[in-house]
Amino acid sequence: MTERRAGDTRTGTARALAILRAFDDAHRTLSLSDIGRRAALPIATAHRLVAELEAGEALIRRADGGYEIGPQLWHLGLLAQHAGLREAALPLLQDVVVKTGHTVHLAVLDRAQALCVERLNGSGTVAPRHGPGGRLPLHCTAVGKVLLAYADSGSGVLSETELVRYTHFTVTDRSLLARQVAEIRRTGVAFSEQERRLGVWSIAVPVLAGDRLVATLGIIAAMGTPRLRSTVTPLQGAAAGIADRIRAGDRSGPARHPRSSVASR
Amino acid sequence: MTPAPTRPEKSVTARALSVLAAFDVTHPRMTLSELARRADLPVATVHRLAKELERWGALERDEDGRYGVGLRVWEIGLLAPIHRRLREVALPLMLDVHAKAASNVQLAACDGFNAVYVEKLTSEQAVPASSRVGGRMPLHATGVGKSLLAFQGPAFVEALLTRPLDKHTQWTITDRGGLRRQLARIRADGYATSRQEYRLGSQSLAVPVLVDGTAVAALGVVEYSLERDLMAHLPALREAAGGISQRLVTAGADPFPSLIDE
Repeated sequence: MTERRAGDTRTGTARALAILRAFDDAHRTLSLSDIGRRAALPIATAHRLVAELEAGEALIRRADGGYEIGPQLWHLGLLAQHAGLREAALPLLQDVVVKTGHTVHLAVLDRAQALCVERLNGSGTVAPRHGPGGRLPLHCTAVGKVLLAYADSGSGVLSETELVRYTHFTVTDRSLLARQVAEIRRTGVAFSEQERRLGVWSIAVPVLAGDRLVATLGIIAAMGTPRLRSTVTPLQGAAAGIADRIRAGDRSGPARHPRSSVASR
Repeated sequence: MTPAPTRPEKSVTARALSVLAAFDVTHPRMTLSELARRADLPVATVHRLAKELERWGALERDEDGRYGVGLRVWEIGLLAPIHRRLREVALPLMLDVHAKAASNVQLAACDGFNAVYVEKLTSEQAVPASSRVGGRMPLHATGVGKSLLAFQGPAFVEALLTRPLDKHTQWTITDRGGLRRQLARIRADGYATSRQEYRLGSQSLAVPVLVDGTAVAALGVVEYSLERDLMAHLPALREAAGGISQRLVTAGADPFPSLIDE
């Protein structure tokens, strides 16, 4: 390709994917020149690739000329295993919100971060700053610490996690964090007390299928919320319910999960 | 500007998208050879593309080595406008219906000549694969589908009626006159039912979510049993659909802002 920028060793597929990656929560609509800049592609290349992605309905062009992610990617994304997890979990997340009044979220480990699969808001609590698709650091959030605690010991996630200081409560000492993580593995409950944001507490528990971590379920609340620790019981109940539903899904049909069989149709 | 290539073979992008598009609700996991067959590409090509897509997170492999759609696609797909506004507005009200009905609650929108599930809350552990979020359903045979259809413009309905009406069960309405009469009744009643018209043993009730007289979505309850009293859910469905309409109107714009020119 003559248009390839000097030093750009990316393949055609990688460049098309870079265009999709140019979109995120803060950049849902992009012009062609935004896309070129954010994907580090010359405008002519961006133009051609965008046309190909549009032909495949991965992108759609708005009446005003801006581009957005197309419904085709939404449809495909729902086939990912975590979309099934989310569907299985939703009614149980709702139970936790009803019982506790707090915002609840479900997260999985993805690329050394906690990827939020679903979030339901409670009535009178802290406004969460992440929705489905949002990401949280592992070392200073309750859901993140659960993911660290139950990650495969061989995965090296703990040693690779960068211990960024967000508040003066953030644990940045690796050996202290290792001790906390061991304690979480023993008790099955993780806490973060203002370690990510001042004034905010979070609690999380693992969703375990057998001894394998499927996800983590957590609550966030304003500091000083009375009886916050009493929310552990409904959280654990919901986590067990989600694990049951996943197991039932595995047995009976739709592929909700990587261990399930091909849909029985 | 470089013109789009006119050579007959597919571009790399098109081939990568064909690999992804080979997946659907009935084929969520595939071996390399299944994937190549459904994508209509040589195994060697798919092997190379799949490796690259996997590295990027667009595909994942399970422990049996079969490919599935990866988390990265889910993450990017969330940015699609069809999902975002409608779901955010509707989910709290759907949860209310779910709590009252103790049943399967679904929100659907039109996607071409199909209904597509935008959100779904299940109470039963095993629901058919095709009724998952993102699954497409026929407009003429399901409760949500008929609710959507009854409150579309006449041109849309006429265009749909020029197409074959697939017979899914012995109860599916495939007679155009019969469907027209039923749509008129749905407009008058404000709700639609489907009794085993899509799948034997299941029945559904749905109401439209109306903005300026057009259904932008439909909210329904599905029972995978014929014993349950479907109509008992009507008040809760109406209240929730009314709430969703009101919130959409207050929010002040089309629920799918980018689809206006379609």
